[in-house]
Amino acid sequence: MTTTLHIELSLEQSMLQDAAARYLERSYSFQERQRILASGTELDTDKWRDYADMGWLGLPLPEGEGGTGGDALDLFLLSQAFGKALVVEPFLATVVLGGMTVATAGTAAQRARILPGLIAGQTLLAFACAEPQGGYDLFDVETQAQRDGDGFVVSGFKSVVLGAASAHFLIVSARTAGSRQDRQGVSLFLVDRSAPGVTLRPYGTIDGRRAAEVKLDGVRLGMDDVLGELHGAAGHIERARTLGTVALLGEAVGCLEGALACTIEYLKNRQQFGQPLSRFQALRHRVADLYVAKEETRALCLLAAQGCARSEPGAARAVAAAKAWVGRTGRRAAEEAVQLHGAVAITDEYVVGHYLKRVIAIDRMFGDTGEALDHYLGLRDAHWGTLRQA
Amino acid sequence: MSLAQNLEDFRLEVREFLAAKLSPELAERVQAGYYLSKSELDGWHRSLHERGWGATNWPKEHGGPGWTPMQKYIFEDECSRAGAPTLVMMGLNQVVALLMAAGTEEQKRRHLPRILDGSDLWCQGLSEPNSGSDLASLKCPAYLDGDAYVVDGSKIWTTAAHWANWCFLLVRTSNDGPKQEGITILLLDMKTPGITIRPIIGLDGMHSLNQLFLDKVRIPVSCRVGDEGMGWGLMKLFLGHERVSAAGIWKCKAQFARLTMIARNTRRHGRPLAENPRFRERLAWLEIHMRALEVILLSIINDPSKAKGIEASMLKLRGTELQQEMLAMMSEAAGQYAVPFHPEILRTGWTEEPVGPEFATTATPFYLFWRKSTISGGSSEIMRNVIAQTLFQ
Repeated sequence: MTTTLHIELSLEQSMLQDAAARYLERSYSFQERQRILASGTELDTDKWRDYADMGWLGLPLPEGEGGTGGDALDLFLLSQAFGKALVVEPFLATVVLGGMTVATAGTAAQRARILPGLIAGQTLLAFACAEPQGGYDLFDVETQAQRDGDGFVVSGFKSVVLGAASAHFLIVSARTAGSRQDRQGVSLFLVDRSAPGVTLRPYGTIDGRRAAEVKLDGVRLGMDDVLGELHGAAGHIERARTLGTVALLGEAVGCLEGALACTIEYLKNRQQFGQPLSRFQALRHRVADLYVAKEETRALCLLAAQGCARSEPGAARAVAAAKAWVGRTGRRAAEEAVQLHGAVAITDEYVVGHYLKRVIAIDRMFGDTGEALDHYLGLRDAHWGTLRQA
Repeated sequence: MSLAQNLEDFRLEVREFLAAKLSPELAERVQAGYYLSKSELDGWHRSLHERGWGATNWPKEHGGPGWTPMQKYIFEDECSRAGAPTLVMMGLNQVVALLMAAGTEEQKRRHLPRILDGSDLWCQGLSEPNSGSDLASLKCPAYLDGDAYVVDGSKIWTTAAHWANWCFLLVRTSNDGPKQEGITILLLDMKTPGITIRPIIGLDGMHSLNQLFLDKVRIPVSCRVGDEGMGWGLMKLFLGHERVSAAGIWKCKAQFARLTMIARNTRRHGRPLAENPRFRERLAWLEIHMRALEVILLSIINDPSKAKGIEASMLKLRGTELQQEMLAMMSEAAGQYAVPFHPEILRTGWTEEPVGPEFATTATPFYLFWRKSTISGGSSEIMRNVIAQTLFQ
């Protein structure tokens, strides 16, 4: 077997789940979340400080860097709690995509420059690797980094960069060799967001977050701004995408848990035709299917996270399978939760529609259902190929 | 030695046994969905019994192998993979669970050894013409007359009644109070005078189901399990377990492997069906879905408190749907040869040149036969009721 199918959580992992659920239930009600959104800021600084105090901002970072050294499953469980509470703070951008890339690709000096502040909640990062023409293909890079004396001049355009406006540093991919769609020849740069030549066009996202289109126009960088191997960033980008996907899978499961819970509550309380909606069998059966969809999604996503945590050979396939599943069954489940509520669900002031929005946004990050399924089939064919040779 | 290593060793042990005892011809017939004769099933039961693996769910002191849940899982997985026959499990699982929980010492002594070695084959008389999903509404009356109950009524959908020598019977001994009360469990010797068996021919043209007519059948009081009127509570002891096995996740895995193989060997417009983008996509979703259910199955296996709860209902609901979709695709892969129908071949296999590809002979009858999986053992609608009841309580 290439994957262990039994999911086992450690005592520490159960404690992390409990602590996260307790804190968010107390401090991150839906009303509180809407208040944060209405304030127009990227993050609530009090909340972010709490996350730092609880050690969450250093959760996946190595212990040697001041982190907790948590694995992909730890990250998944925390993200699951974030998903249920619809947390809007840029944890994914700063910690998962940014912090982990600095931790694995960065020099000692770069790590010292970024990570202590990040773990303490003072430094924010954004991951600027997608481009408009490339879509989900992060190796389709038109942004150029030209050698200039003992440094580089970077010019190009980065799309839908989450958390860009509040980030102190952007992690930017740029081509230093090869042609547009080559895997090789892409390098990562640590770019000060306020450096001359960096222009942001910020906007809100459908799911209540902040992102920006980022223009780089002759941004001058030194050799010590190169993050990881020159021309060889592909592995780092891929790792960030995989870990980011695991975090998103956690959020998606949390969203479905939240959507199911509020649907059950609503159907118990809402009276029509002289009785609670929860008495109608047509609706009860649909809620049963919603529960099953949530459980199936949870099983596949946990399996993917555990596979990554244990570096199992089938992990990439498990992640692709879960991502595809979330985009299809997860989306349908969230839509069903909206439908079961009726009119109240299509208002901005009620929670269930926001779960749907988040699930849709999750599907459009790092490759949607179709992309993920193609990826799965590709890996599966490769797997069958090796079986045939064996 | 680690636990995982022990389990892998155990897996190899099961594989070796199957390689030695299961003939490739029989395995092929099982995987293709051919009908087995009673003597073929009895033969397989003997092989298992000789190895001490006839009753995997039994505790060691009663002659079971004393396996952990994970060992049972691996055993089922390997048996399905290899194409081992599925025994008629009514005796081995339900009757045994019942007798161990509520049987008298004399009942255990009389029945357990003969179930274990395969001398007795059991059927179950649960459903009635007017009591299907609402099983507790059953009416088949029994009244006490001296030292025997006299039973007068009918039972339906009784699998293997024409083979069985014992029947596990639910009867009504009282009409007072709620319908769940007044149900009694009796063990019926099928040689008792007054039993008529009417075969019911399935959509596949084959006979596996029956209707029983009981005409003043006398069943000794000593064949009652538990107290009079307490049958419903005892039934609940094993209904959940039935759901986990009815979900048939192991069989799904084996069917999927077969479907994939057939799709590779079947050509459409000069190319393997497995390379058709639409068929391929459906295969991928099936495989992913199956994986989800296997993870859920393992969570149940490793936490027995889930075996009778909402998780078991969920597994039965989706596992059977998945199995049906696979069989539908198998029939699709047969193309125009899904239409020719040869009921006489379903038991024996071809002795002459097959009409169309060999797998097509059984593909559609098998698909039709297994439409029952979402209906029997608690229909999908009942599973949804059970899940909703827990969610809304």
